[in-house]
Order: sequence, then structure tokens, then C-alpha cells
Amino acid sequence: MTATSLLFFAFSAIIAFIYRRLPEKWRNSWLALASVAFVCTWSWKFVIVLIVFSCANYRFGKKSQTLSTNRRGWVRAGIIFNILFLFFFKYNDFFLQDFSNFLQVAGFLEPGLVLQILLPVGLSFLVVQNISYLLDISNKRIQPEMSFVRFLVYIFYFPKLISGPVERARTFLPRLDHPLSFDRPLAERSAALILTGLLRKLVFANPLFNLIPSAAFTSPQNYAGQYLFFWLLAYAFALYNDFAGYTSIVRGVSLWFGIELSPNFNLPYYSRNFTELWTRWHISLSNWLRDYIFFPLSRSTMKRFPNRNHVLNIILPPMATMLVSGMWHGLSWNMLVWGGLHGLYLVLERIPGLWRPIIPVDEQPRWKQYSGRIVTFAFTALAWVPFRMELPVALAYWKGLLTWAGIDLTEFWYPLNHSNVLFAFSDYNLPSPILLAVLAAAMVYDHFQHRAGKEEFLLGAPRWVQVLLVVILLGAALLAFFSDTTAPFVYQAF
Amino acid sequence: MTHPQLQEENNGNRVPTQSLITSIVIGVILFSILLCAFEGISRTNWFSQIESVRSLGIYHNQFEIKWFKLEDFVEENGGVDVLLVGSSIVNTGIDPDILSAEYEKLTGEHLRIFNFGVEGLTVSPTSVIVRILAHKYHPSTILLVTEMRDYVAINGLAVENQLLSDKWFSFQEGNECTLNGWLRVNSNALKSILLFRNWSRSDFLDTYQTYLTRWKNTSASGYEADHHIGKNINVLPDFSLKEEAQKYAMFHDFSIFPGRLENLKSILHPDESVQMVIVTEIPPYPTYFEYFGGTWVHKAYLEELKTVVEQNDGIFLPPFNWDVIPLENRVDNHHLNEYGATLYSTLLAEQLARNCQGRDICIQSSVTAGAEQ
Repeated sequence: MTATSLLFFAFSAIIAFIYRRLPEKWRNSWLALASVAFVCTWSWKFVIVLIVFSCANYRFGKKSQTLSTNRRGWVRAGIIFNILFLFFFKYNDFFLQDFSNFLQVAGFLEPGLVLQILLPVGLSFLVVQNISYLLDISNKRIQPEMSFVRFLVYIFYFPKLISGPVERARTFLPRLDHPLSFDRPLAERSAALILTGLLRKLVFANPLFNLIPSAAFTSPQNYAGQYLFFWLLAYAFALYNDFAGYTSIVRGVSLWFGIELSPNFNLPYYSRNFTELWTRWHISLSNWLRDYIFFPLSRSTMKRFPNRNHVLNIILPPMATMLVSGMWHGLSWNMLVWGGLHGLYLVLERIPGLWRPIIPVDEQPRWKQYSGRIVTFAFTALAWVPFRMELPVALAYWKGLLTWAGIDLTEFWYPLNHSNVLFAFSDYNLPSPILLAVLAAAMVYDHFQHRAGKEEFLLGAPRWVQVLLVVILLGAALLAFFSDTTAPFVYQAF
Repeated sequence: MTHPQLQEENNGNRVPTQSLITSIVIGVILFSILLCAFEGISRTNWFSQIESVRSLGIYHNQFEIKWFKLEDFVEENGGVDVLLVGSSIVNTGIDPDILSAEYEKLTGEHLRIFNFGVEGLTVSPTSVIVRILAHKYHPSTILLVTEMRDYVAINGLAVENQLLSDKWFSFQEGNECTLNGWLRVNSNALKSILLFRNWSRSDFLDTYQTYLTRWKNTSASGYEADHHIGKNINVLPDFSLKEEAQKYAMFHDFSIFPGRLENLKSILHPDESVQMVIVTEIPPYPTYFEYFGGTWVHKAYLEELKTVVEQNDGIFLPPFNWDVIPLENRVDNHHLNEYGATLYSTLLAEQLARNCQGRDICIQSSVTAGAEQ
């Protein structure tokens, strides 16, 4: 059941309808039950794994409370448990082959077979949520949750289960006790978020993903630089619209229950530097990394080297944080390079602060803000290359970006004078005009959101724009329904 | 105490202006009206005159083209008497117009013949297609052009799986009643829209253009001429080459797979309205048999095929000797080009006429057959 399916909306609507009519004391149990049912639509095995996971974390939480004698020990044990859990289910490539070989030698497994462990949905997101839960208890920011049902809802709450947002217990749990009343303004907000999400996913993200030939990510050396350039642009916008679209949808659906989920994106490609980028891209995870990796590490290095300009104070916290971010996405060299690149960008950004005071970005001259935006986007896009493909292929892609073939405009007038303008487009040595059109549309959409200054900007749009967007969305959905192409949510795989 | 969720609302998120929900409702209604209007327009004669290209939303473009061309053929001619079925060998190998004209010249019987040869199809998917076509159009005769590859178990599986798993097929076969299948069968508007269903695929512009070209190049009676003249047809295949070696690996151990034999039997009994099922082969050039182990394997195969066909009330039409079709009339060692198709269609008409005159096995038009019944 994906977030764009009719089934998901129907399921959510029924659950929300009943939820609103239940007495308060039954509501959390109902949400927990519905969320378990939701996980069952993926696999009943996931339910067992996630319940074991929840029980363990619930126990660790209780053991970590202030009164406990070995509080820190339990917190450490809980964190190690969560990391091992993640390793076992997500990073098992490292040991599964050897373990299968061992079982084959021992006669427990048929020769040639390799054990497979399925990654339960949303596990990476749940692990970071639980670590924050345990650390917050340890740091006395919250008391351990005593109600197992409430804790189960914190873990399982189905709108956020698959790909977040990463919620903190200290903000999420109180919201369960005070759901927003479902009045007209809330319904409008919910509709705006869902419509935005569906547009981002079905009209921008899916087509952009599909319009890039898969060979671009396996043999980029076969293509001229201009193709690789536009495909990288398309990939950057596809990825952003995919995840931002997903988040908008689940935030909108969550409002049906009166539960506000944290925003995850705020026009990241409008960032004027990399520090700002990480306050706009995957905000809930970025904040988590900031609060639980970056700040503690900064404090720790500052204690050892009180001079804030010490090289370790400059390099270590951002680099380590971004490497952890890379590892969270996947334990592979290419993800480490992606994280490392962003770490490097952040480090480089901090270097000028060694000899001159840092001017807040809002106070910088306009030209500097614009150029910062372009530079930040360009380097972010370049970092998406190892995010998407294996390292040797990524190197070939970067190299390919530098070798452009001549764009042939001598034939430009020919197709204009004939009927098949679109089909003759490849004569210019440029990518598909459809890709360019969708890319432009995605940028224009962001521009309007930027101008309006809020994600739910559709609420203030003229009626004809709203209606037109609904018609476009339905048209895209109709074609997608019959299409041979699919593009599952990228972050679903994490 | 502040409501825990109000903080974000106060930050400017909660801006109820005009009703977006009303706009969504208007949008849905407008979209439905537009679809209905398009459905109405697409059912008019005017629309079918300006836009004949349609799609079923099936991945196999040529199957779709043949399906709609047959629909138009039946509408124009009032029915179809003979359906030529099989793979690409039929598609490019028999021109129904020549076959029909020659047969009429020799026997006086006018036949409405349509070529439903589709690339990549073995007897397995063909058996399903024949059942659907016979049920829908009640032709008096099915002429199956088959060849050795049809009976190799692993040949053509990918095409078959993809084609037959389509919801359109399930709906046509009555196996699965889905909205998806129903709409694709019954909505004319959708048949036009479906041409653009893969608009967001990286190869869409190319495949769309290919589709239009193939649509244009396929005649009203389903024949698609191949203008190429093959080279090195008489040279034995070089099995040290990867592609040739793969083909050899697939076919060299040739024997008729029992499952495929069942498919053939199914084609021989498609529908009560079908009076005659004729099975034959367009003669390949002998180098073709190298993949299968030599000409003697082919001879043994033909013997077995003849027995099965005749045991199941079919008519086996012995293939001509390979040398009646010159090299320059071939595209490769098993496909004919336009010259070969012209020649073979004439020869086939003569053979069918001889059968009618000598053995009293005559193909009748569906109208005549219906009147006699």
C-alpha cells in the first residue's frame, strides 16, 4: 500500500473516520491496531519484527529512567541494540554470504542457496527515532513512556512509518493527547498538502525518474555531457519531488487524525549555502543528526580543544555527521562518498570564518545570495551522482559531464517547418523535450511556492489555477494507471 | 497551557482562504466532463476519420496494430473469412490481398483474408489469440503458419508472459473482470489516450514514432511488407559468434515440447464457427536448419506435425520446397521480403485452389458457409 494509492487514502479515511468517533481512551489503541494492519499489507512478518523491536525499546526506555541505578548503561545497551538491529536487517550483505556458507558447510542449508533477510518497512527511520527517545530519557528531556500502547503508536503510526518524518517522542507523544479538531481550515490545509504531494510525486517526480534512461546510471560514458547534465538536473529534482511529495501526502493524511507531523522540506534548492541546505532538506533527519551527532561532537571537541578555530573543531563535527548520514542511507562506498562530499562542503564553508566574521546569509548582498544559491545547487547535484550509482560509474559520470558534444542547431528551422518538431529534437543533440518541459514545470512550481513562502501556497492560489492543477493531476494519474512504467518512492528503500 | 500543535499553526501554516476542497471537487467534475465529452467525440465518424491510430495499452505494439486493423477490416468488409495467424514470418510473408485475388481468379470464390501474424508469438500465445479472434469474428478458416521454433519450450516465453498477463487479455478471456480491462475494451476515448500512456518513458518519442510508422506501413488487410534483401543467407551460421551460439544452444537439441503440442491442438479446435484449420510452413532456406541439427530434423518434425494436425481434424498443407523462393526474395533464412511475399502468396493461392479442385477441400467465405449450415 503506497502513499499514492487509492487504497491508502481509502484506508486512512476509514481509520480516521472511526478514530474521530471513538472515545478518547480507545483512540490510541485504535491507531496502534490500524498501524499494525497497515504493516500487515506489506508483510505479517514485519509486524512480528517491529513488535519485538518496540517491546525491546519500550523496556530499554523504562530501564533508562532517572531512578534506575545503571541508567547510562541501559541507554548504551539500547542504542547498541538499535544499531545491531539495523545492521542485521539492513546491512546484512556484509555477513550473510559468509553465514550462508557456514550453514552450507554445517549441512543446514542446501548448497548454492544464500539466506535472505527482508528489510522491514521504515526500519532506518524507526531506529533513529528510538535512539533519540533513549537519549532524551537519558538527558532528562522526557520521562519514559509508561503506556505501551502509546509507545506502539509512536513507533508504528502508519502515516509516518514508511519514510518518516523522523519524529521525536517529546513532540509526537503530546500530540496524541491533544489531536487538532478537524474543522474546515484543517481540512483545507490537509487537502493542500495532499494535492501538493500528489503533484510533486505523480506530475514531477515519477516522469522525471522515468525520462532518464536507466543506462545513464550504468554506462554514462556512452552519452555526451549535455545529456548527463540535464539528466543530473532531472534526477536532482526527481529525488526532491519524490521525497517532498511523499512527506506532504503523509502530513496531509495525518491531519485527518489531528496529528501534525514535522515538515521535512523547505525548498532545499533555494538554499544559499550548505548550512542552510541542511535546514531545508530532510529536515527531521537533519535536525536529528544535528542534535544527536553534531552538537555532542562539537561540545566534546571544544572541551578538548577550547580554541574554536582549532582544525578538529572545524573538520570533525560536520564531517562525522555527514558520514553518519551517508551510512544511514546505506553502508556502501558511494554513500560514504556522498556523505563525505557534503561534510567537505560544510567544512569548506566554515573556513572563511577563521579569519573574518561570518555574515548571516540574509544580510549578504543580493548577488552573493543568488550566486550562493547556484553554487550550492550545483555542488549538491554533483553529490547526487554517487548517491545514485556505484563509485566507478559515478566517476565516469562526473568525467562525462565535462565532455559535451556539439549541440547541432543547424537543423533548427527544419522541424519548425514540419509537423514532427518533437521527433526531430534529438537532432540537436539535446535530451527529450518532454524531460525539459517537466523539469521547467517543477522549477516553476517551486518558484511559486518560494514566492508565497509556504508549502500550502495552493490555498491562496486563484480558483482557476487550483482547478487546472487538479485536472493535470488527474490526467497524469490516469496515464500512470495504464502506464508500463513505475517509480516507487526512493526513500521507501531506506 | 499552549496547545502542543498550535505553535506551528501560528507560524503561518493555517491560512484558510478560498476553499481548495471546492476547487478539487470542481476539478474532478470538470475532468469527468472532459472525459465523457471526449468519449462522445471519439465515437463519431468524424473522429475516426481524422484519428485512426489507437492503442489497447498492451506492451506489444504490433499486436495492437493488428487488432485495430482487423476491427477496421471487419467493419469495412462486413466480416473476415480467413485469418492468417502466426509470427513475424506470416506478418511479412503473406499478402492477403494477393492471396485473395489469386484464389478468386482460380476458384471464383471471393475471400476476405486478414493477416494477423504478430512478431515473437509462438503457438502458445497464438492459441489464446486465435480463441479470442474466432469467438469475436467467426472466420470460416484459420490458416496457421508455424515453424520449428514454435515448439521449443523456452522460446518466446518472455513475450508470451508479458502479453498474456496483461489485464486486457484476462478480461477478453473472461478470466478476470477488472475496471482496467473493462475500460480498455469498451472506452474509445481511452484507446486514443492510451497511445500516450508512456509519455514519461525515456524512449517514448522514438516508440511513438515507430508505432505511427508501423501503423502506416501495415496494410488494411494486416500485411506489413519488408523491403530488405537479405545477405549471406546461403552462408552457414558461425556458431563461434555469441548471438549465433545462443540460438544454437536454444534450438540444437530440438524436439517438440508436449505443452506446445497442446497449444497446437487448441488452435485446431478454436470455435464452433471455424470450419477449417489449415497448418503450413513458409519454406525456410536450408541454412536455417543448422540451428536445429540439420535438414533431417526438419523432415522428422514435419512428419510429426502432419500426424498431429490430421489426427485433430486439421488440414496439413505440405510446405513448398525451399528453392521455389529465390534468395533475393528473402530477408534472412526464414523471413520473406515483399517480393517473396508476393511470390509465396501466389503459390499458396494456387496450392489452396488445387486442394479445392482436387481434394474438394475448399475454403468458403463465412457468408457461404453460414448459408450452407
